[in-house]
Amino acid sequence: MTATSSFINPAWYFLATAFVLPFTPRGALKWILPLPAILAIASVASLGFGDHGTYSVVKYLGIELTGRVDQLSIVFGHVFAIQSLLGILYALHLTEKPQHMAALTYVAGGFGCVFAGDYLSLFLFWELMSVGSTFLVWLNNTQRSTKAGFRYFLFHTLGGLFLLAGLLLRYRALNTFAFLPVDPSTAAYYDYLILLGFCVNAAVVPLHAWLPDAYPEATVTGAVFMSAFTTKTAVYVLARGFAGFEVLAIAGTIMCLYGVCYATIENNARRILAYHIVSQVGYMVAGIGIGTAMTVNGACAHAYAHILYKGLLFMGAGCLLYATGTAKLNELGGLVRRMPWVFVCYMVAAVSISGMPFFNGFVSKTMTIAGAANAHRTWLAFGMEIAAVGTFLSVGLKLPYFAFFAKPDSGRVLKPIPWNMYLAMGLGSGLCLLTGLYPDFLYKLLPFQEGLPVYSTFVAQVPTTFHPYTLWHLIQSFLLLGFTGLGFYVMRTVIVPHAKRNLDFEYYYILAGKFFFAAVSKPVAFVDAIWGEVYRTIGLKALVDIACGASIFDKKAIDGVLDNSVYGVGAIGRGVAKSETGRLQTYVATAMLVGLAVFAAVWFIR
Amino acid sequence: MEHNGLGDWLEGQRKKTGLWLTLLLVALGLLVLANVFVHPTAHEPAGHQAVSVFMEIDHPHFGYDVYPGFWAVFGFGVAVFMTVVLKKIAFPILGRSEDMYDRDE
Repeated sequence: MTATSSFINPAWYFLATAFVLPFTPRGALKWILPLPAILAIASVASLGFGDHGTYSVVKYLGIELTGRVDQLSIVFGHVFAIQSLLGILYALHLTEKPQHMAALTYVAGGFGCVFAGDYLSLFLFWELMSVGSTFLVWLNNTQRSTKAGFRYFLFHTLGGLFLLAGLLLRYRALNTFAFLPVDPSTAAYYDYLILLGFCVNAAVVPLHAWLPDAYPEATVTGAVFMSAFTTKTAVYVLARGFAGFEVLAIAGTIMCLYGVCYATIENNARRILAYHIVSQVGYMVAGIGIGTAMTVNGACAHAYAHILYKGLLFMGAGCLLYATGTAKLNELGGLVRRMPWVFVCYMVAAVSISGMPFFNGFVSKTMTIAGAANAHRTWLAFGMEIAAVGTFLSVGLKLPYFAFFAKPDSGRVLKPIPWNMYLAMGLGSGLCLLTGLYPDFLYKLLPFQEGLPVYSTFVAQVPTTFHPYTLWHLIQSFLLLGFTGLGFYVMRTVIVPHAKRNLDFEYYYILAGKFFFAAVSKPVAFVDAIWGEVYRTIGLKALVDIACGASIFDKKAIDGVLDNSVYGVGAIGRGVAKSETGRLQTYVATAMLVGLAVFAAVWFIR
Repeated sequence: MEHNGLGDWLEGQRKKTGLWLTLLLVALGLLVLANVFVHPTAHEPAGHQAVSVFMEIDHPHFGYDVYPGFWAVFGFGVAVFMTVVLKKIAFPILGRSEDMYDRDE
C-alpha cells in the first residue's frame, strides 16, 4: 500500500514530453524522447509485488477521478513501460516532431487506461489513444493512409460512443462511475454497451476490420506503437470488467481462427501481422471469457508476451518497408543476404508468436490452452491449437520465406537501416528469449497468485501453477511446429502470395456508412426540392415585399447603429476563409479542438 | 553491411534445400519416435507419480491425443487443409485489387 500513494501514473510523463516537444531543438530530441519511457519503467518498477490501492487524482465538479494500482494493472503497466522504450528507440532517428508527439500522446492514453480507477478517467484516456493513433496513421502522408485514418477514426469514435453511452446510463442506474468487475449473470444493458465499446478496441470479430485496414497504412514506427497498446488496453479492461462472460470465450476462439485464415491469403506483410493481432488477441479474449484463474492469468501472460513479439514483428516488417519501400510479399524476396540481422530478429519474434519452446509465446500460449482444456472447454482449446498451426504457417514460414528467401536477390537499392532500429530489435529479441527461458519472471507478475487479493469474484479460483517445460510439452510443441513446416514445404507453390487485397468486414462498414448517408441526405434533398418549388411559386412575391420593407428599415435604422460591427463580421469571415485550407485533416483536427473546448466550457459553466 | 559473414552464410543455405529437408525429416522422425514412448494416457496406473516436474504428462485433452503421432498428423493436416481451402476456395472469392479503396467514386 505504501508505494501506491507516491505512485505517479506514467501517462503524465508522456503527456508532459509531448507538450515540451514543440519547444525542443531537433538536436535534443534523442535525449528527451527516451526520458518518459525510462521514468515509466522506474515508476512501475517501484511498485512491489502485491501493491494495490486507489488514489484520488483530482476532484472534478463533484466527481472524483481516481487512479488504481493492483497486480492486474501492474502486469500491463510493466510491459507497456518496456515496449514504450523499445518503440521510442526504434523511432529515434525521426526528426518529424508531430510523429513523436502523436506516439507519446497515444502511449499516455494507454497508461492512463491501465491505471484508471473509474469509467470517466478511463473514457478520457480511451479517447486520447484514439486521437493519438489516428495521427500515427495520417502522418504516413499518403492518400491511402489519409483515407484509412478516417475509417479508423470514425470506427473508434463509434466504439467510444458505445462506451460513453454505457457508462452514462450506468451512472444513471447505479450512481457510480466505479470501474469494477461485472457479474456475468446479472449484467444489464448498459454493461453490454460498455462491453461493445471495449470489443471494438479489442478487434473482436466482426468489429475488427479497422485493424487490418489501418495498421498497414500507419507510419513505419507508428505501427510498432499501435500493435502494442490499443488492443492490449482493451484486453486489460475486458479482464478487469468482463472476466467470465461466455460470449467472450466463443468470440475469442473465433478471432483466433478468423485472423489466421485471412493471414494465410494476405500479401502485405504488415497486414499479415495485423491479422495475427486479431488472432493472438483472440487467445486473450477467450481466456478472459472462460474465466478461470488460470485462463485469465494465461491471457495476461499472453498479452505481456504478445506486446514484445508483436512489436518486434512490426519492427522487422517496418525494416523491410523502410529499406525497400514496399511491404508486399510478391515484390520482395531474396533479401536475406543483405538484411541478415533483420531476418534473425524477425525470426526470434516469429517463433515466439508460434509458441516455440524457449521463446516467450511458448510459456504464455500453452498456459492459456492448458487452462481452457483444464476447464473442460475442449472445443475452444482445439480451435486454439488449429490457430497455432496457422500462426506458424503464415508468420513463421510464409512471410519470412517470401520476403527473405524464395526468389534470388533482385539487387534493388536498399535504404540503410539506422542503428537505433537495430538496437530496438536486438533488445526486443533479448526480451522475447529472456521471458521464454525464465518464465517465472513473467509468472510472478500475474494477477492470480497465492497471497494476492482476488480482484474479481467472478473468476473461478482454480490452481494456477503451470509448468511449461515438461518433456511432453516440448515433444508436443516441436511435433506440431515441425509438421506444420513439412506441410508448408509441400504447399509452398500453392501458398505463393498474390498481389490482391481480401474483402473483409470493412466492406460492410462502408456499406452501412453509405446507407446512413443516403438515409439522411435523400429525405433532406427531397424536402429541399419541395420547399424550393413552394418558395418559387408562393414565397417570392411575399419575400420581395418583405425585403423592400426590411431594406428601408435596414438603411434607416440599423446601419446607423451597427455600422462598424459589419466591418468586424467581414474581417472574421476573411479569417475563417483563410483557415479553410480544404484539407480534411485540418478540418477534423479543428473539429476535435473545438469539440474539446465546448466540452470544457460546458463542464465549467455547469 | 554489404558483405558480412552471416548474410553470406544464410544466402548459401538458400541453395542447400536438399540438406535442410533431410535434416527436417530426420528431426521429425526422431520426434515421432519419442512420441511413441512419451504420450498422454487415458488411464494412469493407480498411485502413479511422475519422477519430476519435467516428466509430468498432461491428461489427454482431445481423446485422440493418446495415440502417438496425433500432433504430427494434426500439424501437417491442418497446414495442408488450411492452405488448400483458403488459397483455392476463399481467395478467389475474397481477392480484390490492392487499390480497391483508393478510388473515389
